[in-house]
Amino acid sequence: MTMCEKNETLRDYLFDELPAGERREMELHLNGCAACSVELEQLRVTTSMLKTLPDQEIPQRIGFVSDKIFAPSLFARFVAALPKYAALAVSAAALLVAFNHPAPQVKMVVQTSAGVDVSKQLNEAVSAAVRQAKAEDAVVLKTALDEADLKHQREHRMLAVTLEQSMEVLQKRIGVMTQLASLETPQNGAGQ
Amino acid sequence: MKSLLLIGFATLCFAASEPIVSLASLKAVEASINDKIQSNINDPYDLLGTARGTYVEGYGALFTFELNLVNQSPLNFSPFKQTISEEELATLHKRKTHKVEGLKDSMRGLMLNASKSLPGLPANEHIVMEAFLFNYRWETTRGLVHRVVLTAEKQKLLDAVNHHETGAKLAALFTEEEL
Repeated sequence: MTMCEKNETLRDYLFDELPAGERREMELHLNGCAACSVELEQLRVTTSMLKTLPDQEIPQRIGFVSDKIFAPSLFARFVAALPKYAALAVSAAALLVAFNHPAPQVKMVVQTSAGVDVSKQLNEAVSAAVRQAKAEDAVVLKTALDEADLKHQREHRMLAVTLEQSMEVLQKRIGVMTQLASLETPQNGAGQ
Repeated sequence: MKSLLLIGFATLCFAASEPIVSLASLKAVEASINDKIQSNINDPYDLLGTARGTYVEGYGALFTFELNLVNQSPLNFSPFKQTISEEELATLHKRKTHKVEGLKDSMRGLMLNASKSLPGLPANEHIVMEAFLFNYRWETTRGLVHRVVLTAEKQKLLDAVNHHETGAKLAALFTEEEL
């Protein structure tokens, strides 16, 4: 829809700010201009929606982040920066240690005081847990599959029985029609 | 002469063995039952077995037929429609239960007419009408009637016709069984 040249005066019309003559002229224009009518309707909707919003008090003072009142104190700034300093200190210490001592070969096997291989135990425990979880899952899955299978069989049987019964009914209906037709035929023949 | 006597004796024997209730009269009653069952246009029954009549000597005339109280498509439950809601089942059950009484009314009327259509039937003998009611296996059949049997003595039926009896007095003439 193209914009009409009178579009600009629509707001004045809506807010009843047009002189009587122009207002009348606008009303006549609106009768014939679809674009302006639509625009006016949208303006009305917007106005009515705005009117539904609750009135709010204008704040007495607007504060800016740059105001001194919001500036943190020296102590607060120190506390806030503490993690940064700590991280820097740890990094520096690590660098020092790294340069002074070459990295030792990491041995993954952890020995306890009794000499038992903990990682082996851990692996076995994890394997056992995984095996148990798999076994449980398998049981759950099997149960679900069995139930689904049973349900399917039941539905299949039900459908088969119903179809069989439906066929039986159709046969009976055909039988009835045949019998009735055979009863009527001699009578019709007799009438001719 | 001897042969003539033999023929005469054989004729008498055959005449004696001929049923007192004629096949034609039984067929007339059968036809009236079939017509009546099929005449319910607004909520028709589904006639699945035409009426069969027989005469049991010394007891009376028996008529049986099979129908579904609600005329429904056999494909109501099919590969294309594999579920029937509880609501549909309940509605069907209700309709069937409701229609049993209407069927019994129809049967009573048919038996009254049959009493006039069976002239050979002795007055002290009975007219029995049995309706086998068909239900699909997917239906809720609990509480549904499977067979309706009405029995009445012919003479009582004739009296009821002659006196134009209706209502409870008429219903009292019939022995009803719902199985």
